[in-house]
Amino acid sequence: MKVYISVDMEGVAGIVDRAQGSLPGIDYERGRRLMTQEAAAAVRGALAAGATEVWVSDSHGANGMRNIIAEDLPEECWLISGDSRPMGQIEGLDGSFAALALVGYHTRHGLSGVLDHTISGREVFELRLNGRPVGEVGLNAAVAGHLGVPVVLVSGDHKLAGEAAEILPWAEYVTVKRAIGRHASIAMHPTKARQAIMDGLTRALGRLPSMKPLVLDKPVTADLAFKHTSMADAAAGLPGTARVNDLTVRITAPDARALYPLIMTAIHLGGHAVSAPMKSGTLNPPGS
Amino acid sequence: MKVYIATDMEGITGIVDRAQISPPGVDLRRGRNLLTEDTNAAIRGALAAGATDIIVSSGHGGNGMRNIIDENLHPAAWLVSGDTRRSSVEGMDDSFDALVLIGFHTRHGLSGVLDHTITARDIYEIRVHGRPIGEIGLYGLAAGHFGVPVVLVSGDDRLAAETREWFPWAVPVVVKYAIGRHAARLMHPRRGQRLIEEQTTEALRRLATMKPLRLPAPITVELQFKRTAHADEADRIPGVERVDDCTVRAQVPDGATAVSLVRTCIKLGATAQNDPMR
Repeated sequence: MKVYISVDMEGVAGIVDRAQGSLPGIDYERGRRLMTQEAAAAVRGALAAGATEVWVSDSHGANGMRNIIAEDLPEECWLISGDSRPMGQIEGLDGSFAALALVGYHTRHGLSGVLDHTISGREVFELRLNGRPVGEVGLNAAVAGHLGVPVVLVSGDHKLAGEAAEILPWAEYVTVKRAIGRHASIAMHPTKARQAIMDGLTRALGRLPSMKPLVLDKPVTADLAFKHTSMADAAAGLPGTARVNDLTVRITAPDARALYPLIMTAIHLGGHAVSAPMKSGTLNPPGS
Repeated sequence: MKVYIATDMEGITGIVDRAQISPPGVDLRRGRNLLTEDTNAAIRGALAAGATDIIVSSGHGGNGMRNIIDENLHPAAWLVSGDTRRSSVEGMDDSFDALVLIGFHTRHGLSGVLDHTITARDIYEIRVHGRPIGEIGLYGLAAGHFGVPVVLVSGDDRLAAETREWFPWAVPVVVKYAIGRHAARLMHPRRGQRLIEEQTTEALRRLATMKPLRLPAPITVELQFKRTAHADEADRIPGVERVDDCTVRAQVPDGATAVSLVRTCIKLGATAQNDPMR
């Protein structure tokens, strides 16, 4: 049994702020260790359920996607580290995997939870797949689903539990904190959170037959609403995109797997528009 | 048995980015610890195969070629540390039996983790007898002049292909699979280190099948720089001629001289960096 564990940081127990999740944040070194230990707990949970191969993806954008401390993970796993990956948070995932676990994730932009954002807090207002707003959980689940891989576990705050339950009702959910606002929470102790994630993944893999790949109607349409018109202007330069309105570009692809790198490229392009002269004071600080 | 272990950093287990191998990188200290542990694994492997003398070279250019943590290095080895050296195999001579290359990377332009040839800023391609060559080829060539074979090369999966190109007899050790220049799927460091240890022992046990890399003399060496200004400087060296706007060429008697000349051309070429239009 091959298991893929994609690990983000905003939904890790103890994390409530950018200062813990990004350089030069005063608590970044602590934050990455909390993240590493939740990743390690998930690996142990997968191994306990009989996984024979476990891949961990460092899926948090800060520090060039090199947040997890490789030498602190259990020896049995592989670690995907570093940036400029075509498939980002699920690089290398294919149909040979039995399950995908999303650890330390967060709500989509606009859905109140700890550090809510969608892919990039600076650029993206909303991402809709076939008309339905999704966050990173939904996007990754759709790509995995196309490959025939079910999401079996999601961990994060209590708001993300709602977001996940809507699209992945079969998945195990581990709530490690209760969001009080975007930058505050009441959190489970890190040690208890790790235990819950480990047990949760073992339990989820134990009922693998009840898990389903999330399959979207094809072709898949992504409507990408940016926070500024200049970003949409830049993203609309990507061949194959259509302008829906001043803030939104539409990308259509045969399936979610083919769509994913196009969405990333459009956001990347949009990000270059922030050097516009009026940018200071008009933009929110990046959420991730 | 006398073994030379030359080390670099880009191909060390766990490394995918400059921030882990060069000051003021946030993870430089971690990177140096990983380098030191991969090196210790090779030393243990060499000792198990019967090595009696081991010289380690701290060859990575960042931080003045002083990246191995001396006090954490296996006490059986001597350490070559510090810069202004002619090569990463400084002190190589015919008294050695084998060269082990730990933590290396693909040549510039061959997609792998942190691909480059000696300096990423200056060099587009280096060719010997018209054939593109990277650092493993160059250091193997320098050792080959002294009759010393490359027996093992550790790094990513792309480097394994480059290794087979130059040293089909050597053992490639793959500790990571490149996703791009700044991303990889990494083997756990402790597993990578066990693999390096076992394979170093295995390679040295098969020493009789290993061959020194020797090319027909004189050797034609070409350096294609990234900018014309570098070639402007390098073509002032006696015996070095200009081939085209970015490229210089020289003929040298042997592999050791080739590596020494390449270093000198690059150092001189790099003085052009003060060009105001750079």
